[in-house]
Amino acid sequence: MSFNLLLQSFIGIVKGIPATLALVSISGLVGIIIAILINVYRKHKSINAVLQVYVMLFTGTPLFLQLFFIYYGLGNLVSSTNILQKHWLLAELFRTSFIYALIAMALNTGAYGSGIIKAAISAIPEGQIEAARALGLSRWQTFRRILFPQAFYYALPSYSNELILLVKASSLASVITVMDITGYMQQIFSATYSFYEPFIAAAIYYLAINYSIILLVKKLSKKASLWLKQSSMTA
Amino acid sequence: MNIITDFLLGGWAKQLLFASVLTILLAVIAYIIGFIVAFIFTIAKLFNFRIVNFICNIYTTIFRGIPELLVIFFLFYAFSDISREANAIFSVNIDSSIISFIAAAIALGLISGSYLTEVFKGGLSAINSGQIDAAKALAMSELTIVFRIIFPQLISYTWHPVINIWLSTIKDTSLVAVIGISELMFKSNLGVTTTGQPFVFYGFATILYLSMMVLSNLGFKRLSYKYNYLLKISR
Repeated sequence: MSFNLLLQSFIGIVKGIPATLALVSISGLVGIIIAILINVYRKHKSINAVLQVYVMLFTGTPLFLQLFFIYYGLGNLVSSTNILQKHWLLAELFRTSFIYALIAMALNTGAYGSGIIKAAISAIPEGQIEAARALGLSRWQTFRRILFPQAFYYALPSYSNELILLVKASSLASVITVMDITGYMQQIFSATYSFYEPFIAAAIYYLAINYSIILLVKKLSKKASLWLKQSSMTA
Repeated sequence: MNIITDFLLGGWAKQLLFASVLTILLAVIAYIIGFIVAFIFTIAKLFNFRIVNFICNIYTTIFRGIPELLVIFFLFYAFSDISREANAIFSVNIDSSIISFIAAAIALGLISGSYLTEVFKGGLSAINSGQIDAAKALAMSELTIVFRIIFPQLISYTWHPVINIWLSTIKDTSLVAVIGISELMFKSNLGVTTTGQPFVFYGFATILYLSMMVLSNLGFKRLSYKYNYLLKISR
């Protein structure tokens, strides 16, 4: 173990942090949107059936497999069909491995997130919605004032877990040559033939990212639980 | 159609099936290791061994905080270093494929163990401490308390998370393809690189992984019918 190399790897791996954060934040956002859409269409029978097959496919198989499937399968399709080649920006985008990692991770976290949101919504008693409607609140108001604050509060702990899993999953992108934290770790390893120093640096960066997510969620959940205090004050 | 018949008759399907047996074997070994680790730490928590609890906290934080890929890489390099040292000092030569299999099994075991430990700790805190006091007042020995009072309730409280951890252990076995264990993911990658048919190979792998999930879900359902009296405790 050399201190010099440890310092070097700490500096070298910093370059991978933007890629990891971009992967996590973009796929997390897209994933939430997918998860919400799945829950919106739960009452449409035919659409729901298709969506449930999607959820089963993506929760029942490893992300590693999905990543390779999308990287090679979609990559093959894109290069053979020539649809995306016409627009230079899309063509440029689909030439990077980053976009394939992003698609795989977003689809994966969307499938897992739909279960979390479903659980959060089902934790709210049906009577509250009926009461809100009886009081003359519109559908949007019911969602905005009754459903959303509570569902958000209930979903937050499980969703923070899912986010941490997403950070961990983002390391898989290095296998399809995305230069994230793990990618730079392997680069330093293959350049210096010493594994432990870059490993320690990468591990500490991942722990720091995950810990800051936990802190962030703690703050958010304090804000999200304001309605709990209000209702206890009036009661 | 030609591709699929080639796939089935050319021996690839058979190879993937054998590889999935290795996947299941690896998952079972990892799960057993995980249970042993979690058992030790749960007992330590129960009897308040300060030092072991401290180690346990560090262990679960690190193993749940850093990507599985890094854990697998770390144990792989650590084990190959150890075997190299052993070869130099005692001149025992262990086959490198055995080393990587052991490293993979222990890595997956420690990962599932960290999640199982957290689940069991949560289950312990759900058990009313008054029950243990009551058992002590009835002059039960400590072992009797553990096996008669705590464990039955622990099983019922942690039933669902424990199933989930089994499923995620199966999914995590796909990651050990990166250190060259010839399990399902590795074999399908091999097939894709030699034949250039991502859809056939990854599609078949998807079916195999999904059937593993479905079969283990059925198995757990059967178990839960059989030990229904245990699971009713928590309700």
